[in-house]
Amino acid sequence: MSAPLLPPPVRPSSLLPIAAVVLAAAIFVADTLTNLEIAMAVFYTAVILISVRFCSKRGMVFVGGGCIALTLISNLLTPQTNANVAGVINTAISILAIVSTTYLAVKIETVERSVYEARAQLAHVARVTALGELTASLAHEVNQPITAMAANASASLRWLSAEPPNLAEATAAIERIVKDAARAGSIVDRIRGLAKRTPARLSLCEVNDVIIDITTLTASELRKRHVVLRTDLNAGLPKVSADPVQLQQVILNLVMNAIEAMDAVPESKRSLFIGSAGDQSGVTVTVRDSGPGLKVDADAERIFGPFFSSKVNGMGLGLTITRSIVESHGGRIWTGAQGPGGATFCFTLPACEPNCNITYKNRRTRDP
Amino acid sequence: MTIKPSIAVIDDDDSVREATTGLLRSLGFIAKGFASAEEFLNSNRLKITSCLIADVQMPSMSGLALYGHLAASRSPIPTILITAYPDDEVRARALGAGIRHYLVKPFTEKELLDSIRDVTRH
Repeated sequence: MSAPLLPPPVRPSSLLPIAAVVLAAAIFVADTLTNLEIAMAVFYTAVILISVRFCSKRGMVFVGGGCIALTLISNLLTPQTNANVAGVINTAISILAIVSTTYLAVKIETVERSVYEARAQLAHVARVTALGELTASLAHEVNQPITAMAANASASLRWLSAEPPNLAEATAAIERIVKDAARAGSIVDRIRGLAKRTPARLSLCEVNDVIIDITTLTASELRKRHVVLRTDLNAGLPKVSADPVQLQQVILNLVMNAIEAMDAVPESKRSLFIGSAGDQSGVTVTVRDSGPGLKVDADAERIFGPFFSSKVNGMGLGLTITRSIVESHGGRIWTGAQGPGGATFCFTLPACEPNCNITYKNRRTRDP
Repeated sequence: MTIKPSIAVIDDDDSVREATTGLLRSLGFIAKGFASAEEFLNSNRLKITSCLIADVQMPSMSGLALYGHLAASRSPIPTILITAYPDDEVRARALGAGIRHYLVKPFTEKELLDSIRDVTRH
């Protein structure tokens, strides 16, 4: 199991707090009815353990304090028929158990939070590193619309200064400038989206939109390396609940790995396939290259482990982070059936169930 | 009055191709765009094209390869290469093959015009 890349439960099940309250009430009644020699209050630890699932640190301390208060109240309410040393000691044991459980629960929450933060930082570093490798291509991708804008601007000046001015041609050239500016803007938006460092946030994502984001960002890299891209994006896929930046990172990692693997084969044989398919249960994305492929048995499992790399400069963390992201979204990643030459990677993400109440965050309004 | 040369613009990027042909038309040239070297070779404009403006990086046949192909078939067309990836090695190969102009995107109207005037004068 990999550590989570997403913050602990964003959508706590509403049943858990109710279960905790019911359990606490039952323990309170039982503790009050039974005599003091039975340390019924020890069972409050179960309430604390349930509260770990939905409470913040302060909340857990509050729950722990509440349990101690309930223990003392039922101690007072219990008929003092056979009050003795054993009863006092049992109450003390219960309180000690509640205090230590609360302490450990808070500690676990702190550790989980720091593991999550460390993982998120690592993922961010990996993302920025991937962008760094793409710098030349991204510059090219932005340079194209700038080149077009410069030419269109010169052309519109010429048309306007002609005698008589050709307004139709000038307007057409200016309209092209507007279109190119939007194109440059949307590329910059995508780069900024990947480079920014924000806490993971789930939103409703269209997997196909994310794939298009990545094919747009890598278009120049693909062209530079003579890779022919083929996509088969199924329309009407269910939306998934995911952090869009992390989902982009998963696809970018797989695409960059594929591109780099194909350095080993002649230019005429480089082709990359990205497909999406799905049903009500979820979405499957397939990334297949025409590189040398994986050494089937040897690599299939190790490849997702840390520090496994076939690249000279690779840290070997790309696929580990990729798997970590996919699994923290409730999905699964695997190496698909290997064709003649070439590696296939597939991952699934569960569909957002119909009552999924995450509000859709519209990331972009501009598009080329 | 001189006859304006007919120019072919070969670039797989739609924006750059449309903008460059647009700019050339505003300068009074006859300009036509092609999305690939193959599309140009299969067109009926080879004979009437007096100048080529071709992108270096294109998926199947690069601008440099196109020039080489035309030269080998004994119908060379004066060519101006345009590129977004300036590369000394490619530049040297282009100059060696007889291409005198290697423009880096984004290029200015003056650079483009000067190059066209230079290649069509000879």
